[in-house]
Amino acid sequence: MCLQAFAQVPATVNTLEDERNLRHAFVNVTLHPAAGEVLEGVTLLVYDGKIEAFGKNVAIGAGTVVHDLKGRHIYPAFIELWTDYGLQKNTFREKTRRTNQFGRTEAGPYYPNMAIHPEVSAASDFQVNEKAAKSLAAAGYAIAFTHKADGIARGTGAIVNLLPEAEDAVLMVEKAARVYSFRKGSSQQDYPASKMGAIALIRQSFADKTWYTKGGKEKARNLSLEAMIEQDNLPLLFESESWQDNLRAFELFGEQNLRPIIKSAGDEYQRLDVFKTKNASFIVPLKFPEGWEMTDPYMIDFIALEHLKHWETAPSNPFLLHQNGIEFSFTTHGLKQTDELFEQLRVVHRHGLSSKEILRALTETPAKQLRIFDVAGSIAIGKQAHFFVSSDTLLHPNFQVFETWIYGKRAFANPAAGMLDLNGSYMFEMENVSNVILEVTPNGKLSKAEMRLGDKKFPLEWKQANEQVSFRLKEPLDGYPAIFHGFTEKSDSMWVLSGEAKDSSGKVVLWKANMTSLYKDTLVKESLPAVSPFEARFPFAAYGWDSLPRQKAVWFRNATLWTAEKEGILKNHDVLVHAGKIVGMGMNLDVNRLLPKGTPLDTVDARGKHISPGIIDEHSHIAIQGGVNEGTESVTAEVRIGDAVDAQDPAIYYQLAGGVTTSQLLHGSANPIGGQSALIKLKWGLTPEEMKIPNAPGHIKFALGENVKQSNWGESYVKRFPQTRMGVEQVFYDAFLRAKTYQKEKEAATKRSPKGVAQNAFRVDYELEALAEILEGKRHITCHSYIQSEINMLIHVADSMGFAINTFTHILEGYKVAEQMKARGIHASTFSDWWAYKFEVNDAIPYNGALLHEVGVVTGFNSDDAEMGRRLNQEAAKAVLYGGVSEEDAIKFVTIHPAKMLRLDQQTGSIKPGKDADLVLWSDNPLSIYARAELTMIEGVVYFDLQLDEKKQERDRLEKFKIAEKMSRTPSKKRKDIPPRRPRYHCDDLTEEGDSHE
Amino acid sequence: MNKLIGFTLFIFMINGLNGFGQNSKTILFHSATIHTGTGKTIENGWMLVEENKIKAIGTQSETLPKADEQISLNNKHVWPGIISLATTAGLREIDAVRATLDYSETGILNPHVRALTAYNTDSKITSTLRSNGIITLQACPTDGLISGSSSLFYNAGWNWEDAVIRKDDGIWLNWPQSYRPTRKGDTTQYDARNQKLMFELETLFEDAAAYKALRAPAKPNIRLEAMRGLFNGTQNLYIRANYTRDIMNAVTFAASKGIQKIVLVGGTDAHKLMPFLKKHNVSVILARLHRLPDHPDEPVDLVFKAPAMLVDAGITVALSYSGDMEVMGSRNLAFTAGTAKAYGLSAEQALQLITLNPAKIAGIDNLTGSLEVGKMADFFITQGDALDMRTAYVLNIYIQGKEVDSDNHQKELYRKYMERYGKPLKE
Repeated sequence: MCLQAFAQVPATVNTLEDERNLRHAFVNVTLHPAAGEVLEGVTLLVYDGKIEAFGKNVAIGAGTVVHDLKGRHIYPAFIELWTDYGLQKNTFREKTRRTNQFGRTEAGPYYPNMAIHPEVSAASDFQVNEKAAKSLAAAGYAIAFTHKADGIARGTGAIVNLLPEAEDAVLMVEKAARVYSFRKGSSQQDYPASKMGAIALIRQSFADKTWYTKGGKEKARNLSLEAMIEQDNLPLLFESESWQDNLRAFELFGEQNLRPIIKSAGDEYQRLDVFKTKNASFIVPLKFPEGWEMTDPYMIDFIALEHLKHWETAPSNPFLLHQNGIEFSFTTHGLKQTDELFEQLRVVHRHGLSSKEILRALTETPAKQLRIFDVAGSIAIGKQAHFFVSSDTLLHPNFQVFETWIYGKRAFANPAAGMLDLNGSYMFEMENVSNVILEVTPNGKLSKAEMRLGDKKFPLEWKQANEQVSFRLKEPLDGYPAIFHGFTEKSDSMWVLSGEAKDSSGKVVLWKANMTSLYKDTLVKESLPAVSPFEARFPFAAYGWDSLPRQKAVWFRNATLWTAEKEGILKNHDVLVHAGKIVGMGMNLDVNRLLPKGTPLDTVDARGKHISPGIIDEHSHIAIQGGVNEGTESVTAEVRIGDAVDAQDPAIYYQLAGGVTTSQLLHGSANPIGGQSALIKLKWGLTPEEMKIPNAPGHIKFALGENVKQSNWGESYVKRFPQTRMGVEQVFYDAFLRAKTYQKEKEAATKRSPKGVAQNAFRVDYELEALAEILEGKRHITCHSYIQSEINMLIHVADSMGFAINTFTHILEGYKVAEQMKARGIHASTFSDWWAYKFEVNDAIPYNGALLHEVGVVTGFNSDDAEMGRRLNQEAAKAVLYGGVSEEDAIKFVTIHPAKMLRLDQQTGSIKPGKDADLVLWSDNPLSIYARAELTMIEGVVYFDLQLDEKKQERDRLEKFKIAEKMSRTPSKKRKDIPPRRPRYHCDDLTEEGDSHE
Repeated sequence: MNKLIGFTLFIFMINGLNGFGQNSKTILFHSATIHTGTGKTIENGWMLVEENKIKAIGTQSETLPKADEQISLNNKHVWPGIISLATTAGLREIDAVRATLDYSETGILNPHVRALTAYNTDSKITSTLRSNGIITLQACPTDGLISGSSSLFYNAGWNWEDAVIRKDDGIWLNWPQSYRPTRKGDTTQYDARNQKLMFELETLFEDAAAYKALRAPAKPNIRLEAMRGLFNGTQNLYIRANYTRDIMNAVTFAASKGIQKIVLVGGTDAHKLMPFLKKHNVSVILARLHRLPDHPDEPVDLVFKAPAMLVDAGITVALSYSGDMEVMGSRNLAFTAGTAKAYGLSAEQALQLITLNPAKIAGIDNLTGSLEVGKMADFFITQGDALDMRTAYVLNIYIQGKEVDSDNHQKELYRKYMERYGKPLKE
């Protein structure tokens, strides 16, 4: 790559020419040319901004400026990849409220969504900032990648060096990388208001780019898309907020065959095994979380174990990444002062990372990540001369940067460079004097000192200048001269002070002080608790697994089986599970016949206990990160809950404890056509992708009524169409008419080219793709609905537009339209007994489920609520209470019926040989309030075990106290606040935080 | 002026004659499993009701007393009427329709605001609670710092006047929450807010304590007038507080102000402070048991175990259904007692959480809350276990000895549509 020539365009200056292009020789250098390499006593020769030579026998010609470093160190200068150096600081607050701002707020031939602005170029806005450059240079940095952290497609960042010169002189790479995030930044448009919305938007923008390349350009010019095309070969950086975001980025950009370099949130240690397989590359922060000050003994109740463990483990993250062979560089982003860097590096080192890898992560790796290793990132002949001179080795407690040289020029000289750090304890010796201790301690930037004889202390006036010291006793002391003077000398890393003093008679006395300990070392030794060895946890939080549970062959004996099949409830029956499937059921089962020989088998005596199919929640909003509603527009069929699954939500575990094994994670009900569902099994401890049911049928959320009309959101929500049930109908007609047109255009485009759609100027629209899938019967609708008129309306729309409605969910007035539903095979997924929370549920009755069931509609009960989700078996019992459904049928309301709705009934939802072993062992009749789930099994893996749960509880309790105790002994800044609780979403929650309750 | 003096007169007035009419006959209910609510279950028992009260209770082995009417219950179950405390029943109808909401007054110091006169006996929701055996309701104002006073009602009646059991039984205080999550780690805003609220509270209670000594104040104060009963033990101070430090601060505050009867409401962390609560003789009305863990990392079933822990420690505990959708949801109150049983209590203890204990807390246990001789004949009859939704179907309901309607709007719709679809009714 051709990196700028440093042939600066001459500027007009108000003085005489002063170019001094001299050769510089650094002699007596301890040179660290690259990670893991050290050359002692060498010379480094620099000329014309480049490294000319280094080694033992480097000839120094005439006209060379010679710097005798007397053994001091030279390191390649650092490279900072995450900064807004030279750019205007961000001042916006991200918009969270909806204001019906649908389009752009600024005109221009750009992308219709203002969070996508790839055309923004840091290089063109860049202005050298001497102060900021100096603070970076003072910490050993010579090069920075700078970009403006605003938006989802943020545009390109530039690589600059940190010389205080003109912009054209310091700019190295104009467009070094494109940067993405899931945060919309300063955009005032409503869309996107959720993480899944941001992801959908990125996906659509790439599709638009493809369309533009294939001919879209002939129809319209769009500078954003042109910028995207131009950036095709640039590295792609992504700013992540968590390890799960990392995975989302791998998935999303993987669709474009791109591998993002991820600015990490510092928590990759949570799933090292996964990142190892991703060939991942990270920019990891050196800012580690602050601990908490526990203001009272109960405050720990409010701070989740995951926060405490993150505090404890985050400093080990770099080491653990290295240990697993995962590439990373460091960023100081988040540190208050850049020079806190060195303290943080020592922390990282104490947590296991070698000095070699630390240096690599500051030099070579960032250079490679942004493809400038050919010119920077190490000291090598012909490379640009970026390096710094330091007092000591990088991790030494006394380490100081003395000078930083950027492109062969001295950019920074430490004014305190002459000031040696002499702080420490010394054994002082003088004629007739012994056992005296000289104590030198920091006093601001200077030092103070005292002499100690036994337990008596005598303060000194202490002065240091370059390599000389002088001191005098503040009060005269018998037998001691008043004034001492001497020189410093280093032996190993310890100082030796020696000199002379004159006593009252003018006689010269010799003295010497040998350092016995460094001040910083004493501090460190005294105060820091030991680093605990790393232990994996899945997930890295309370209730997590020490190691992931495995599939087992299990023989449940003599249970009461609730088959949810035509066999009904069977007493004294066995079930055999092998390789994730139910392989046999019956009385006194002959297991040897059913299992391969030698299969290890667990036997569970289930006498007096009950086994039901795993419970299936047709309507769940748990395990979703970054908002449950996109909902900023009436139709957001392009968003996918599957893009935002949160595998760490403890609600997963709570629900396992209530026997739930499968959930449909639904988009909220803020708009008529919401987003696509994720069907997951509650495989606690696994990653989001692993939880999703492979090849699951597609589902999507629709909604009718008050939420869609924004009826109950206050007076500021009266503009988005629709505001009435009349309008809601038209949204559906409009959407499906558009989808039909789209299908035709797509078909025509496909016909034109045998190679398929992508070859033509056909714009893939993910919103219409999802609607077309509905028309093609490939995506199934779950429609939030309450009252009969609107239910009937959608049935008519579906009939006339030629699509099917899969399930009406909530459907509290379903009993009024049961026959219409039955005639079309539409399922009903309702609440057992909720009502009265809004006007449209005034005629909701708890007999709804029983009535629908009587008429012959496949009926289920769902939760829509993380709490009810863990008691769905009890909700099923209400079908018995209200309307007298048989117990045999009632269990189906939460098992095989929702399985049918989710189109998973061939694989789960009942106890039948050949089906997935998704089973719950109950202590009592599963419809009883007294029943507790003792084991919850998914595909033959026990994900909840009541006995093990008690052990986990005890483990977590002890661990919290252990970490809190360690926290209290660690001297660092602490916070006193209580971290926000994990949001609990319901249908109509509009923000990421989650706010409503029903 | 007269009105104000009147306040002090009708505090703690028990209304014995409601509008249910008189049952002049004696009725003998026999061949029943009687759950007395006092810790006993009488298998094969009988209960004699005379006028509005329970005259006698016994087992079948004794000679049956004479009665004008005998009803054989064929081993059905008889339960004391369920009491739902800390609820906005009768004060709200449809959550999302502001016009139907009457529980939250504006302003922060409203001791004078009364649930009594806003209570709607014709609420469509409360009739569905009655159908599930909830016979007594405590309607409570919410919000602000001092929300107002609650009253206890029979869940039947022509109007609040004849439904009321006890007027103005207590004043409701929302203790300022000190553990508040913040996004940016800055707690100063909340600290300042809490300080201001504490100043208001301190001042109000100091003034009320001084005011109570004035028998005929020259300048009557409507707020202080309403608080008199707190200082002489005729009114409860209901304090809504959930977390440890808040509970301790609140109880210590109330005790130091000379409040006689302190009831903790919510009390999610009460089980961590049992010796403290016992020492201060504090009763507890727990928030809805069917909820998620209150704290991160908490054992998943700790909330279910809390009632057993508190009962074992000798604390008087009642269950409430307070929280989102509390009124319509409280028809499940008995099932939360079932959960308390599943997690450590005996069936009798669990029943007391929703019958005798709330009656004691609300000061109506001399009248109702258990099936005992001399108490009102307030009970309901089921086929099976009332604490388990599987079997809790309610057959008949009696208030003051008289059978009341167990029908409701929802059952009507059910019948109407079963008829429409030509299906036989199953209940």
